[in-house]
Amino acid sequence: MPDKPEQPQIDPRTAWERYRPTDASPWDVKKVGHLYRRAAFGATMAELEEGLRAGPDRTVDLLLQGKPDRDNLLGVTAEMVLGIPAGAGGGQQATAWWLYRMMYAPHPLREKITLFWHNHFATSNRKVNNAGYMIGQYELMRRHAQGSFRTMLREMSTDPAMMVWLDTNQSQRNQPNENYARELMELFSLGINNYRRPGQRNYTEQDIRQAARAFTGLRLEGGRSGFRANQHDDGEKTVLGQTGRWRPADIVRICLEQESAPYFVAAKLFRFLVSETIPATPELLEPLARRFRESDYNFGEMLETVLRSNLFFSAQVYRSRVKPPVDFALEIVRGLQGRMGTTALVTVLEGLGQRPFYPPSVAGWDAGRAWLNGQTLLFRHNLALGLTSTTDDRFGRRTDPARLARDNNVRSDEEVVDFFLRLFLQNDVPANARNRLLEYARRAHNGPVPVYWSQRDAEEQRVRAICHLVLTLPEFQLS
Amino acid sequence: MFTRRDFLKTGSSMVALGGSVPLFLNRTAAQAPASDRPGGRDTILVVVQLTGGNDGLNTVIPFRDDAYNRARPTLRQPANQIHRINDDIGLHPAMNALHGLHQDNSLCIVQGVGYPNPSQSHFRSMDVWQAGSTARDLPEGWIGKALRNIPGAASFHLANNNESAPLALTGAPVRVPSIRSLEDFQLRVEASSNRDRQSLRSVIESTAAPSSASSGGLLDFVQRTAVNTFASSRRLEQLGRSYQPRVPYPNTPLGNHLRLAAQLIDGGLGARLFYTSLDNFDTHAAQALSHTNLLRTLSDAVSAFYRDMSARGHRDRVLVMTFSEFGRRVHENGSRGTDHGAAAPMFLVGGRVRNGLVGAHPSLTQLDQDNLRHHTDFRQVYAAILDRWLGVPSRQVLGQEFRPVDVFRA
Amino acid sequence: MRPRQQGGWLAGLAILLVTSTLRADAPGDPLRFVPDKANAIFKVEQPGKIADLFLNHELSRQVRAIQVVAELYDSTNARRFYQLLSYFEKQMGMSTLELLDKLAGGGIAVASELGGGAPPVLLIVQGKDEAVVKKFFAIALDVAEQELARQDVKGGFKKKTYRDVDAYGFDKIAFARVGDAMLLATRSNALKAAIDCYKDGSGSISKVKALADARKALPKGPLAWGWLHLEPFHARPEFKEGIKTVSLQPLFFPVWPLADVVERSPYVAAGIYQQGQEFMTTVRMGSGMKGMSERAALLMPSAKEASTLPLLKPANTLASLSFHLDLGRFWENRKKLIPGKQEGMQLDQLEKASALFLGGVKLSTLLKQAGAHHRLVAVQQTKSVYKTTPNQPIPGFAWVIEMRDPEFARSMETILRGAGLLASTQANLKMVEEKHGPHKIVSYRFPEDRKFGNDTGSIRFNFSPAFVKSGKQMILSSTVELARELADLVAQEGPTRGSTASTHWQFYATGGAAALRSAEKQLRTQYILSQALSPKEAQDQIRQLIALVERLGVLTIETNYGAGDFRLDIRLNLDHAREARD
Repeated sequence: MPDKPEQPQIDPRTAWERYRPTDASPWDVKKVGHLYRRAAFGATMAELEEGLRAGPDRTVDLLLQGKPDRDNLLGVTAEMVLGIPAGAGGGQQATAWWLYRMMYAPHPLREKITLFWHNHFATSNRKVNNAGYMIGQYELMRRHAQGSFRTMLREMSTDPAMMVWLDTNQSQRNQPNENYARELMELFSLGINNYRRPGQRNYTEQDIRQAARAFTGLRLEGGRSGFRANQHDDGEKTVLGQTGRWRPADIVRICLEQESAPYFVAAKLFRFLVSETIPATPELLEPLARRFRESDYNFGEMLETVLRSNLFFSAQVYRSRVKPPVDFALEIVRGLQGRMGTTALVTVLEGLGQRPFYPPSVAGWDAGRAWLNGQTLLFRHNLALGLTSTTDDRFGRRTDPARLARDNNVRSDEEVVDFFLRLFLQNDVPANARNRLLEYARRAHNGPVPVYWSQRDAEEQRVRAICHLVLTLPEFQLS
Repeated sequence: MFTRRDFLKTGSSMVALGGSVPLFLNRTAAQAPASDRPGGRDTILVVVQLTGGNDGLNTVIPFRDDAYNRARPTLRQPANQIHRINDDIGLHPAMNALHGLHQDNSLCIVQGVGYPNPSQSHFRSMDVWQAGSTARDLPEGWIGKALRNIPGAASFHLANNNESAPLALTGAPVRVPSIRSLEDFQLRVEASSNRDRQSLRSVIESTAAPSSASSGGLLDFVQRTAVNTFASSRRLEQLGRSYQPRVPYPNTPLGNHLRLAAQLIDGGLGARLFYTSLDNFDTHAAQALSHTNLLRTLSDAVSAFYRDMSARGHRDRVLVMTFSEFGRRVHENGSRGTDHGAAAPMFLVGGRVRNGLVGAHPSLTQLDQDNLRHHTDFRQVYAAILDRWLGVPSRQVLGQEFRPVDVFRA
Repeated sequence: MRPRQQGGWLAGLAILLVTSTLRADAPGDPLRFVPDKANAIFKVEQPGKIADLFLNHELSRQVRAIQVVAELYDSTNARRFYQLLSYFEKQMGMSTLELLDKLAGGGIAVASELGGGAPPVLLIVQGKDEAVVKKFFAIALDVAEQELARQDVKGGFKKKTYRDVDAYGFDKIAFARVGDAMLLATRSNALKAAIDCYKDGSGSISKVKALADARKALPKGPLAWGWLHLEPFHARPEFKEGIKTVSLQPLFFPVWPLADVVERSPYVAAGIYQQGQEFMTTVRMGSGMKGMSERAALLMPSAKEASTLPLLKPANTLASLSFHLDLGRFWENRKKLIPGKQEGMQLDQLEKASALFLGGVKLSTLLKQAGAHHRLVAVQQTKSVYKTTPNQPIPGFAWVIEMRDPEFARSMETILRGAGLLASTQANLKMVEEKHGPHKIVSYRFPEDRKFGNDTGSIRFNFSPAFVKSGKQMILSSTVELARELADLVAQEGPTRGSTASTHWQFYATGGAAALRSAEKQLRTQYILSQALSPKEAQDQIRQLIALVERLGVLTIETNYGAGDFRLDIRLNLDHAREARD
């Protein structure tokens, strides 16, 4: 629902055209910060400056392609998988492993979009109970994250984790299990109602039952999916008006031929990348959806269009999402250029309501305002404290705002305040917020400190406190 | 003590801001349900899980039955120390506090509770009880599902250290927080002195305040949430310091959890569901002493909680329910302990329960593979609590109709 | 005054002066504050020496070189701690070590009265110089008050005076300075009791017999020692239940003698010692074989037999254990030892069922033929009869049983060959008989050209089960190389009878290091994930850890039941060279 009743109308024709800096809408550090928040997990100071210099086109290029993997993070982490117990019990380590990748990835956009797909195909290890499968599904989604949606959807029907999650593994020939067929239509490709004509249904119960027959015969053998012809119902099925001896790939094809399919996926991408407050009307999505279908469901292309678009860089879209827990934590760590163990982070993120590999249900996370309530907000503030104070044993001592300030030659109180405001919020805060921070710094400068603290202790404490205060500003909760 | 008037004073500013305030701790007057419907008096449910399999036969004892004495040569309780409920059944000697509740018309004991084809595996059976279902896959819990019907109800998992959220609470629309103490609600800062601490907190709270030209939108939402969060946090801090229990609580972990529940209830914050557990009931060997201690802990803590709540006028709003994943064998084993069993009793404590025994004690001689037979499905007890106490349609939560047991007074 | 009287008077004065000086130099015993109802004490006799070991011993240096630990030392909290120390150094005008000596040179003692809810704990720090202690106390009080205010604890310290002693408290904790000692208690009653004990001079724990006996039983010169007074617990129902639980469980029978000793001993005492490269912890109890119950005594070696045979040490030993276990005697007296009717039936059933596996040999016969002295050995394998190397190296292990009756060998051979035959048919094992000197070794090998079930990692090539008889010993080994080596070692042993210890175990640090090496992949993943190290850093850290573990030398554990006492010695000897000699 719209929050501001008098919202200026968005023209679908120009919304998706490429953004070019103008006087009315210049390329400034706010836009760089916005881009990095959405397309990655926040920016370091260097990335902000570089983005400002390079301009929108080259910065989006960089994010789409990723930096070169000089430290071979992908290789190293792939090897680490061997050290994770493959069966039950590896859940926490698997989540920690993915968080590790997100944190140090030279190509954060890839991880972020994989997180988007993870929410889309929401499979929880609570039922799958096999870290190896979950990581396998993650690899599948990552491979096609910026690629073909058609291929991903097709391969997903034989993904081991998905087979366990939606019971494809149990589907019998004479008693097919409808779970996967239903969710394929309802949650993965079409949605219940026709996107353009909401009164109309996209499919009937009969369609689901027939489609379920096509998914029989798939079995998990030795950790891989296989096909047992004698368990497969190979009779004729009629699904969404098409009849034939359908196999899983055919059902995927049929679903993607429906009118709603490109809109459904485009709408999800819209909510994830563009805005949670602007309604994703069919008119607004039409150019995207049309192109998505014409390109044979090339998701990467749609992603690129959105990231370069006018609408994406417009004032209405700016700060129009609530920052999800994973983003909240990773932006702080990446911004501070620190190193942090991710195993502690898993527990913390669970408290904040978003633990990767453990979505609450097949519908994924609710997101938006649901991320924030009286308790999660308090936890976020306390997490920000834990990450900046260097005295919290869970997070180690290497995300230190004081060190960052020293490395960037930031000394006076005013410089410190401005530094962190620029790093995390690009200075876009009301004037009185900045004033309050300066006032705090002044009071702290003259205030008493424990008698055994050195001068350096007192200074560092001030810097850390200022950083913590910046992270508790309400603007930081928005993406 | 924090009175309702104090609450309304700080709450009025929230009403002025208008709109639905997404608090976990607040409900406005407009949302207060009608008081004649079940659940309408903001009824409270506290679930105490007895982990490990409580020996029901030595908790609610058919002391006159010869078979009991024969089956429990070393573990039987002397008849003259048993607290009588009626001429045939009594409570374990350690449960004098709970017996006092019976004399105060507040204790209901449902006997012979279990489910068909009982599992003797801790994990499976506990999952069944927590999910309210015997299906093969149990992804959600009965309380989590119930919360979907009463979204305004704040609920808490009173956790021991390193305990993760139980299955029973999974599936709730908003994740049920696991808390260990009131400190989990405090806004923490790292300060160099007391003055610095005040300074930091005032900056955090003042920068969160919405500006006068409030335009709606996400930022507004964040700011309102923040303001309410800090207000609640301060209130809870005050509660922590000023709470005077009317009755002394035992200094055991369970006692502390129930005390925390009492503080949250009395703070008028809309807290309605609590889940906590007491562990170590898996007494395969040398049961006598450890079981006695556990029952005493349970009895003293629950009784203190109930009496504290009663003294504050919440007697009729409160219901405490205890359960365990299974009972234990009728015959003791060679190590002076007992092995996993099946049917067992459940306790319901509250001002509106039907005092006394519900259902007969299962026969000690007509056994099912050496275990007591159940006559009441545990989901019938859940149905009674859901339908008649919380005001939640039990069929939605349990998946099918179960005839509710008659445990509440009219 | 006449000269003789003057002389006497002067002499008296001299003696008084000398003794008072002596008194001033020797610090008081911190235990003079501990009331006799305390039942647990831990005392650090030489804090200075421990600090020195901690800072300067090479093991400690090696630990601190590990990256994680080094970072801990560099953390904000650690740095603030060092600053706190420097602050005190500046204020007091002396180095930390000097300060430690003046403040705690007389020892640090912790006493508690265990049992029941929250036991009160009393901490006493005995100094040597009252003026220094007084000054330190005042400064520490000031700093602590500031810190409390910083942590937002309301109220600060409350001051009270009790019997001329100024005591401070907050929450439940109370602390005070009494002369040259500082006291801290978790409850104000405990502090009061301590002050009373000191002022009245009576009722101190030092007068309790069980403590005096314990201190006599412990060797001289410990760095620290602990003491638990068991007498008050003997009457408690929980204690009796606990002992009964252990002594009624049939499976716990190896520890029945120990439980018996604990049941009767008035105390348990332990001391920590250090000499050069050797660290030792010894645990003593005040009761032994005399007075042991019949049941427990049946499990102990009789006075005629020696207790344990010497340890076997083939090449690359990881662990070598020698212990006394008379299963034959156990089986003969099983009705007395395990009285339950149900359990008795179960044992009879076991005998019947096992007849199938034992190739016709009765279990009771087998057990009676077996001796009472057993040895276990685990080694790191270097050579192999196989050409294929397994992915995951598993140590070789062997069980050496002394035979009471030479027929045992024949019985065992029957059984083992039967088992081997079964294994050959099921698992394609090949039997090989070989002559090794005067010994005949029977072993089983996996064929190297075939796959085996799910064993993709070739784990099976760690094993080549073998058995051989050497003199009076029967050797069952997981690899044939080990069997050969042990056969030789046993043959060389001669008639020496080893130690009187009832158990004698040795563990070699190389074993721990080898275990870490085999788990390297998992460790690396864990380090990277939990501390965000780069793979190279993680690798380095694991290497450092392994080097550290290897440095740990040999750990020796011995238990000894005397007539009236019990000893458990745990020795860690960092000097590898000694291991060969012992």
